[in-house]
Amino acid sequence: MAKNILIIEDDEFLRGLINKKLTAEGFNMISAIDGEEGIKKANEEKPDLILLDLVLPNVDGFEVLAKIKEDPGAKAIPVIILSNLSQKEDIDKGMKLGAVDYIIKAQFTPEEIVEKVKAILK
Amino acid sequence: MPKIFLYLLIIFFISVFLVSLTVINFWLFINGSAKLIYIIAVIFSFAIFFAGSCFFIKINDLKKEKTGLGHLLEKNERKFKNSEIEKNRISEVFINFNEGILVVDENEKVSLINPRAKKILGIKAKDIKGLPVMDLGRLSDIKPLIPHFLSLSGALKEEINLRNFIVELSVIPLIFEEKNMGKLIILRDTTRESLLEKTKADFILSVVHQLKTSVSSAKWSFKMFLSGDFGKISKEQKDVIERLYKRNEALIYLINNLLDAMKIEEGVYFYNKTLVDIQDIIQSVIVYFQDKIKSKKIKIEFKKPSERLPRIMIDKEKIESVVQNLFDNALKYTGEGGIVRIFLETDGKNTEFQIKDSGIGIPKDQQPKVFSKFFRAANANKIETSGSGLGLFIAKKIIEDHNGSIWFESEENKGSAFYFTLPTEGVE
Repeated sequence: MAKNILIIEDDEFLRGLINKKLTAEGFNMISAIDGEEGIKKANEEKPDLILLDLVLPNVDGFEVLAKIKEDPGAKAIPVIILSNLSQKEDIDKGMKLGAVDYIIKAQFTPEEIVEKVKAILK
Repeated sequence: MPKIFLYLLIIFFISVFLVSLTVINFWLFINGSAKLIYIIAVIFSFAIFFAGSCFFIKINDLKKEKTGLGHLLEKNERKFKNSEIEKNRISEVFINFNEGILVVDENEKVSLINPRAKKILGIKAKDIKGLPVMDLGRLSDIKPLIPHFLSLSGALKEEINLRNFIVELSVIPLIFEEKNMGKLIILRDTTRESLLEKTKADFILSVVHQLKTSVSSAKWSFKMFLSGDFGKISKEQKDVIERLYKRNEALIYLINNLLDAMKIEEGVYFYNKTLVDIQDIIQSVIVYFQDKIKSKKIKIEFKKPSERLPRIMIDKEKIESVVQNLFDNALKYTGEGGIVRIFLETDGKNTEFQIKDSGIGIPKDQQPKVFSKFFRAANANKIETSGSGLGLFIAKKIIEDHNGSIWFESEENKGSAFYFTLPTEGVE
């Protein structure tokens, strides 16, 4: 059965590219365009993995991550942060909150992202 | 003084007249033609005259003294007036000074405070002279400052957030002839500056983030075109997209460099040090540049040390970016068929890296500026127009923050050699 991946990303173009790439790899993609929707869908859809952007309108990615980790129904889902915040403090903060990996968008190609996702879902 | 001389002359003549009168009378007395009483009378008048003269001279001296004293008094009065003016002037400066000034005496009591300091500290009471500093905390919301006011350490400078102000606090001990006279406390209101700084930094970060989102979407799109995610592409389309991809990568590199340079200026450039084998870094950088090396037919020689060097405590990513930057420069500014030599050695204390090219070199007159921000040599600009002039600025910062040093030797049209050393402390 195809694994479900929730992508929480406000930039429609970036979200579309990742969706296309991962769909082609056989994953079932669920999209959320802001933090609130992300928290809701993480709880309702119980995806196998979450790709989370950090700079989001209203509720930012750090808060989304904290909320997911507090949610008994969603806290076991691995979360990969997918952001362009590249400062050490941001990376440390994200990892401390329980992310399994931190991908800096401008430094990774879609293929590399697919590899990371596959490695975690193995 | 001619008047005095005239008096003295008169006194002299009268004396001569009286002396001669005495002599004549004495002579007449010896001859028996004058009586003794005459002589006594003359001598008596002489004595009176002498006493009078002395009295006159003394009076004259006293007069002189009096005028002297008068002058002195006048001079003192003038001095006093001047010091009064000076005092008023200093007091005006003190009152109207745009920075808060507070002087605390040796018993930790307020000795002087200007209106600006009162405003910053939110003190409404009129006269607080003599009030213990400890009690100031009760007057307003300046509790966070009190420990600094009382601190025993030497001069200090710190930024502190108060309710309505952000204050830069300077505490300067007042020591006079080795005696503690209390402290001078200067309160500078930096509220506006801090807000502006923050707005500026937030603005730049937001722009950088938007730029990064754009370059990321371009990067992902190009890569997906190249891997056929959007269908088959022609050879020409592939070539163009490959070039676009490289341009975009250069842009990402530039944005990261700008962000790094900004962080360096702000003093918030952090390192994540682990034990690293520097030889691995060099080898991975050579692999990274394989395409460029092949396309320019450049010969690479890596002279490795006879045995593996011990691992050193460094920030792997940042040192790798330094090696990458030096390698990139060597390849960029060396013509086709040139040679780039890399040396790695250690003397036990330091690990030394050297990269030597047969490229265009750096003109002598521009060599002192090589490590400054945004600098690019004129001959380098001709060969490669893109380049931010940030790479070596950042490299120097990184190496120096690792307690190492970086330098170069270069001759125009012959080539350049860049060196850096890193201390081997913290080895396995």
